[in-house]
Amino acid sequence: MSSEYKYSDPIEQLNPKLYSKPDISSENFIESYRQSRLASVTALKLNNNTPLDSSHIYILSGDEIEKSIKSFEINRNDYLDEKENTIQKLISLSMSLKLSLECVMDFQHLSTFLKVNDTLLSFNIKKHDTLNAAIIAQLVEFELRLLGKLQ
Amino acid sequence: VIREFILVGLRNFRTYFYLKSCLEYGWPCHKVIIYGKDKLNISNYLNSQFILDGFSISIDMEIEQLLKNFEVEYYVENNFNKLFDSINKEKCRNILFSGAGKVSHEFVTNFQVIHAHPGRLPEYKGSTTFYYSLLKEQMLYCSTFIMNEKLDSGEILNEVQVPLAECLNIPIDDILDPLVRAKCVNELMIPSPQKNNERAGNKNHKIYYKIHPVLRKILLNKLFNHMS
Repeated sequence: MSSEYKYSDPIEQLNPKLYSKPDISSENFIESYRQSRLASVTALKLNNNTPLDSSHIYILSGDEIEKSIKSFEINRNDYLDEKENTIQKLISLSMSLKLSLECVMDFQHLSTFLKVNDTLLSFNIKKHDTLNAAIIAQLVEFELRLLGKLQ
Repeated sequence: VIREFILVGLRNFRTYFYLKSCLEYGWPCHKVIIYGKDKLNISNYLNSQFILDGFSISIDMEIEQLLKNFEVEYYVENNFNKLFDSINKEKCRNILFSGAGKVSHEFVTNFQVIHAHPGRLPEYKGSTTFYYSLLKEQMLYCSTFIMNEKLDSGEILNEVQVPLAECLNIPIDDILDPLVRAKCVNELMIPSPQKNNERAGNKNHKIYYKIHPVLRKILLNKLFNHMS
């Protein structure tokens, strides 16, 4: 049984049933998730001294968040193409969910937040521009802090 | 009051629990229709008894053996909606549904199709809602309702709620999910005179989507590691 966290693997991301019947039987599942995320954060921050400026990110309204969640959850394949426009959409959704989760714990928002970050991390990290990389690292660090409080 | 119904389902734990409840609690089952080719493997749970807030089910025989106690029709067709012409010949117009997928316009307009949804309605529509309510409120909910063409939106018949503390050590997908549904249907079929099914309406509702595996695991750890 593999204890690796597979949900941000680019090949696995293409599986439309990725989240349907997950194998979470491993006792180390949460730890392998945490290690995978920490490794991604390290890679995103490597040689990256860009000052964090997220002012250009479009923050979605409450209604827009719900519509984007629906779109992402139902048409996840539309978000896997690694084009700049898609990356910006995913970062916008992830950042909006982060801001929402800072105010109130909503488990649907958290679930989608984790999936959006899985998708962002499945992309070739070297291809992210340094500002995007810094922002994604910040989103994942927030995710880890939030999950740490839940356990 | 449901005077009689046809149980229509796949070979799954939900159908198993409904069949056991018919026998053990006296649900007025007129006939059983089993569709699809899937098998049910009960070997992991054979000779186990599961109790949820006073409602108990034992797994002590294969589903095929259990079905011998009923008048049963079998169909290999995997799509429930394609059985309409066969089922439409029945006089009984109540269906208790333990299958999967969307139910067609034909069925919901010609029958009362009763479905047990493991979430409080209308607040928790959609998928894996019991994970969400257990995480959010430490409560497991189930609602029965008459299906219409919209997702989890028909007339609500009754509801049960069970605190997380009652759910400890029960395998969540295989057992807890069908068990709470059977408990909820049981309270619909055999209403307790003391039971007050009235509930405060809450207009806040949204659709839930498949929960992320990390959140699933956090909930499982809460259910199974509570003593460590």
